[in-house]
Formats: sequence, C-alpha cells, structure tokens
Amino acid sequence: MSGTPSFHRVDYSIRTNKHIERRLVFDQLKRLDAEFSLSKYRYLGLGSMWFVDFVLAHRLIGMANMWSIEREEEADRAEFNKPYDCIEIKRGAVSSVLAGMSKDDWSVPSIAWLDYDGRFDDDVREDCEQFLRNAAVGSIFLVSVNAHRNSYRPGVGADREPSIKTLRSMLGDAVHPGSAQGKQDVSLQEFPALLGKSLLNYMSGVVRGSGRETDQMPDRFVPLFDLYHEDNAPMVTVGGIVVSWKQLSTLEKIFATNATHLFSGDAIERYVLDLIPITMKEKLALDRLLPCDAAAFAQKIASSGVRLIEEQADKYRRLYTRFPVFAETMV
Amino acid sequence: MAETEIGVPQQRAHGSPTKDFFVRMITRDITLADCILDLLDNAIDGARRTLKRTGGHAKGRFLEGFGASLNVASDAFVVSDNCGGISLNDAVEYAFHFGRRKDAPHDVDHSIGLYGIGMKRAIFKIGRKARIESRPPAEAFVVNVDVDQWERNETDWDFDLGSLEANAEVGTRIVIEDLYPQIASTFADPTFVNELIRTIARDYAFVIGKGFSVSVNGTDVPNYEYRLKEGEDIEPAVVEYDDDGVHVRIVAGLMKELDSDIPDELRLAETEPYGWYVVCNDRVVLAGDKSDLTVWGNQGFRVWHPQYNGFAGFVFFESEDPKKLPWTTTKREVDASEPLYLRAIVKMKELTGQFTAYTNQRKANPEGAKQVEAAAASVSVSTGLATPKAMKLPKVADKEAGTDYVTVAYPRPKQHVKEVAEALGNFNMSAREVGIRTFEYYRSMELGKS
Repeated sequence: MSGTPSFHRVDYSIRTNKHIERRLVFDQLKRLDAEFSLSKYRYLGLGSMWFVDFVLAHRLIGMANMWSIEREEEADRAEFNKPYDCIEIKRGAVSSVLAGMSKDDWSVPSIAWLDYDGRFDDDVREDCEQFLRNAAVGSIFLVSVNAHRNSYRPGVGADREPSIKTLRSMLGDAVHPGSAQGKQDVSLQEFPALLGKSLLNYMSGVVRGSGRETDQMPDRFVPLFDLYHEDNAPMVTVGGIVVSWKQLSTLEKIFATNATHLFSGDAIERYVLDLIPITMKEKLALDRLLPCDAAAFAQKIASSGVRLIEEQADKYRRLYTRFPVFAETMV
Repeated sequence: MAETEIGVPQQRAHGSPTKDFFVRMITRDITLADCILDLLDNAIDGARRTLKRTGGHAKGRFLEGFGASLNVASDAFVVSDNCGGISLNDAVEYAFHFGRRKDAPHDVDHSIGLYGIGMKRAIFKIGRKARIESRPPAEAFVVNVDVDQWERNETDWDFDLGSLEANAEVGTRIVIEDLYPQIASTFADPTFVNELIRTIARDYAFVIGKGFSVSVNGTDVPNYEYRLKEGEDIEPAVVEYDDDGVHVRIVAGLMKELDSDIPDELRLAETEPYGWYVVCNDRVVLAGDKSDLTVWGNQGFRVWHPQYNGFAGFVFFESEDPKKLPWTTTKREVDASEPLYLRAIVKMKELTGQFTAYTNQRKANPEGAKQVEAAAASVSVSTGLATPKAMKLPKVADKEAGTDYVTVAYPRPKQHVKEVAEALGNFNMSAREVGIRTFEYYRSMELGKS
C-alpha cells in the first residue's frame, strides 16, 4: 500500500464498526475452537502498532504462536509495541514473508487475517493465493480491503473505467456474469456486496484450482465471513476455512447445517456494520430495554425518549452485546 | 524368413470393448464443461428435430420458445429442456447405443450431435447414478442408470426403460447424482458455474442469437452478439464459398480499436475475445484462437502478438451432414488434417495478413488510427454481413514523418512505478505509459516544450 501508513492516521482500537466486526469474527472462531483446537494454530496478521486482533486471539482463544508482518521501515517500532512476547515480528512485505515460509512453517494450521487498509489489487490477490494454496487443512483465512467503488475505477474524470471491469480483470470468473444487470457498472451501494461475494468466489476457485487433496479427496473452501463495515472508509472483510473432506462433517456439526448449505456460496456470518456513533446516555437507555425481539424493541424505544431512527436502533439491538464503549483515561 | 500361408484361422483375437473403457477412458478426453455442452447440443438438436417434424422454418429467431436449463450443485446435476424429448423408438434403437448406428435416421438438419456418445459420456464423467426422463409428444418413459450395477455385467450393454406418466410437458430431463468427489467439489465452486455461463454464452452465441434460451442455476445466459467495426474507413472482409457439401463463410476485421499502449501484464479477460473463431453448424468449436490450430504460427505464418488485440475472424462451416464438418468428438478441437479445413486456413491467412500489415503501418500514428477505429460503428457478425466484400482499414498518415525516434528503457522498483501511476490518476497505467508521461512532464516543466 502506498502513502502514509494508516496507523499514522487511525487508532485502530477505537473504531466502533471495526470493533464489532472483530468481535463477530472472534465469536465464530470461538465456535470453531471447540472442534479445531485453534489454540494450537499460528495467528498470522498485520498487527501494525496496535495489535488489537492479536490481543483478542491471545485472550479469547489462547493462541501463543503469533506472527505479525511489518514492513522493514516500521518493524522496530512494531517490535517495541508488541503486547506479548509470543508475537514474532516478521519483517518485509506479506508476499516475501509468505514466500519465505518453509514446508514446516506451512504444516502448522493458521488463522491468517490480512487486514489491509487499501484496495484489493494484484499484490493482495497473490498474497491470498499464496496462503490458500499452501496453508494446512483447517486453516482459516480472512482479508480486509477497501470497498469504495471509486478505488476500483482507474482513470480521470469522465474517462474513468467501470469498477466491474477492474474486478473482472483481477478476479475473472469469480465475478458473476450478471452482476451489472446489463448496465455499464454497479452502483456505489452495490459495489461492496459484489466485491465481497466475488472475493469469496475467488477463494473457492483458488482452493479447487490448486488441486490440493487430503487422502486423495479434494480440499474445499467454505466461506465463513462476508462482512461490510464503515467507520470512515467502506471496508469488506471476507474469508473462510480450508477443510479436508473429513473436516466437512465437523463444520456441519458446528454450524448445525449440511454440506449443501455450506457450499451455497453464501458465508455463515454476513453483516453490514454501519452503525452510527451513539452517546453513552443513549446506550445505557437502550441496554435497559434489551434483550427483546424487533417488534417489542420498536415499541419500547418509542416511549424511552431515545431519538434514533428505527433502522439504526434495530441494528444496535442485534449487535449490542458487541457494541464497544470507549472512554478517555489518564495514564 | 519363409512366409506363413494364411489358411482358415484356428483361433481369433478378441476385439470386443470393455465397459471400463467407456466409463473411465473416453471420459478422460473431454473436460467437464464440454461434457455438459454435449447435453446442450442434444437439446438444440431436439429443437431442430421438432421444427423439422412440424414443418417449421429455419430463418431468423426460429429457435424462439425452445430452451434448456442447467442446475449445477455439489449433490446433483440436472439438465432439462422443452425440445421435444427422445421418442420411445429412438431410445430403444439409437439413443443409448454406444456410437451412432449406421441406420440411424437423418431426422435433423444441421445437427451438432453426431457421434452418439455425448449423453453417456457426460453421465459417466459426472456421477454414478442417472435418471433420464423423456416426454416426447403423447409418450413418457424413464431410464435409470446405475453405473456400478451396469458395469458388473460385461455382456449386457442395455439399459432398462420404465414407464412414466405422460403430462403436458414435452422434453427431456436428466438428473445425475452420486457425483464423483472432484466433480462435486467443482460444482460447488461458484467460479466454475460463472465460467460455464460465460462459456455457453461464447460457444452458443449463434444459437442463442436464433432465440434458443439457456439458464444456469437460475441465471439466463446472455446473448453475446459478436460485432465487428464497420464505417467509412473500416469494413470487415466477407468471403463465402461451397466446398464438398459444406458452405464456408469467413468474416474478419476489427472487433475493438487496437491498443496504442499495450499493458505490461495482459490478462486473459482483456485478450480472450480476439483471434480466430471456428464455428460448425452454429456451434463455436474454437474461440478467440491465437494458436497454430488456426493461422498463428501455422506453417511459417506469424505468431500471435498483443499488437493484434482487437482483431477477430470467424470461419463458419455449415452442412446438413455434420460428419463433413472439421470437428472432433469433443467439439472443442478442429481436425487440422481435413483438406476442407486446410483450404479454409489458406483464405484465413490472406485476410489475417492484410490486418497484421495494417497494425505495423498504424505504428506511425497510433493515436490518429485509434481515433478513426473508435469512431466506426459496428455490425453483427451473424446477421449483418451477408455479402462478400474486401477488408477495408484506415489509411494511416505519418504524423511526424522524418522524426527519428529512440527508445528510453530503465528499471525502477514496481512499487515506485505504481505510486507514480496512481498520482497520474490511473492505477492500472502501464509502466511504458508512466515513462512517457513523466518524460513529457519533465520536458514541459523544465524545458517549457510540449
């Protein structure tokens, strides 16, 4: 990614929707942990200077084999900021760190979350492919990328190319042929969902196309996450798990579903996280009404004095257990 | 060595086929997608057969109302059509026979199914159990195929037919289950399904253009109408002739304006439409070919170069007798040794040569040429180019005649070039274009020259 590092501009720990997204991801990882023993996995991420996801992985799942990839010029600062001794700072670009992994390194199942702040491009695509082709079965892969349509429209002014052309050029048949519904491009609002779905399709294609097998049966990619969040920039986080034939039944058990549903193309966890900031007073008032169903909540909220539009209030109802509270403290 | 006189044979060498050969061997020579297309071919032939039987005409969108739908999932594959069904007599005598019988009736003109192997090969390739339901007018029957059970008896090659209640539907439905693990994995991959939609759109463009409809997992396959540039200064070439019972039509020209800036990394999606198309009885056999199967690198002819991106040529072979067409059993390759095909290649090379010569001339003024190319309208390859005519290409005037050029080339870190491309407003800009723009910028800012 070019330009100023995003951590110079953003403190990753205090973004509401990103925080909720992390909680949703780790809630699902905890469900998987019961059968897949994730504490024995390696966590591979881009810890930046904040290591928020690393802290969650360590505290919630007990992971203690952790690699954070940081480019050379920032690696010393990351080394200083890493919160646990079990985090190893791997210096260099993601592509070179992945390319340098030995057979033994790959043999350890991983949870990799490549949390980029820029758009999906050829370099990110190659990182995804590298991981999905080589990771041990049972490995979980997530990638976060910018989902603003204009980030995918090269050119200037009226000559800018359609975003769908950029996606097709990078992802080929992972983009559904009918996506633009006969129009020249998808709309600004439609783009994040198309990007998320196309990335998941692409990951399925990479796993199948790599010919990887366990016990002479093809390994499969099961989409787990299709999340959209918007704090400042619109972002998508998508990912899934690479499983062997045998592990499929374990997934069916965990998610109480069947293989046909797992391969329907839709992720297990799908959310649009665009909650607006709410005040502490509003939060406490809303919390006192919960838990309850949507209809009851709509009724209760009318008499509570809280003045949020119904759609936003209901989003809060569905996600309130993951909603963060940020406070300033003197250190 | 003394010759041995051949008399009455005492023993005979066995030559009978094994079922394993059909189940595991012939299925290796064809891709999964092409197997599925074989089933579509049967549906299209069914539509043509129905039209012939009912005296329907074969002009314009004469296949309107006929269609097939495919459902591809990890647990089953289903193809159903409304194209007339297989008659009980055909099923008993011909449809399940391995290979087309010599006495099979010629009941469809311009057929695309010709070897009598497609349906069985598709079933064997995909799964272990199949159910073929046929509903021709006023009849209905079903054939259940259990491949494991059928394989156990090497002498009995027949399949049992069962009765089915007739209803208002007329058509065929094939359900294949108990899929092989690799097939199930492939069918679960959305990129395969999307690719299949694109492949059908590409290879059946001339059938869909005549009104036949196809859907895959609920998505209608779009009508790809191949078009070539036609305007005041640009016209595609059209050549037509008859050769040994086959009508041949060759159309070649400019599909899209040529690039003056060839990108550093060419992607398949951007170059796939260009090259030669070989079409047999409306079925695209080769699409966007850039190999010696058509003209490129064929017996000393020039190989394909990105400079030609934008060129497309179509050679249509049409015959009432599909055996006369230069295709193989997979309908994905041409039989390049067929004299009929070799004679067509000669003409294709002539047209290609005219075009490649133009791509060299236009280097003198690529921007000017591109403007003329882009301004031209386009015409449908299937419906708009009936009259034979010569290829017409723009006359390129040399913008800076007498100017000597040198090429500036230097390596820079990829990331740095990407950053500059982004700053220039186009993250997809080629390194070549970044070099030109930054050079012109320096010349303008430091030397005050444009």
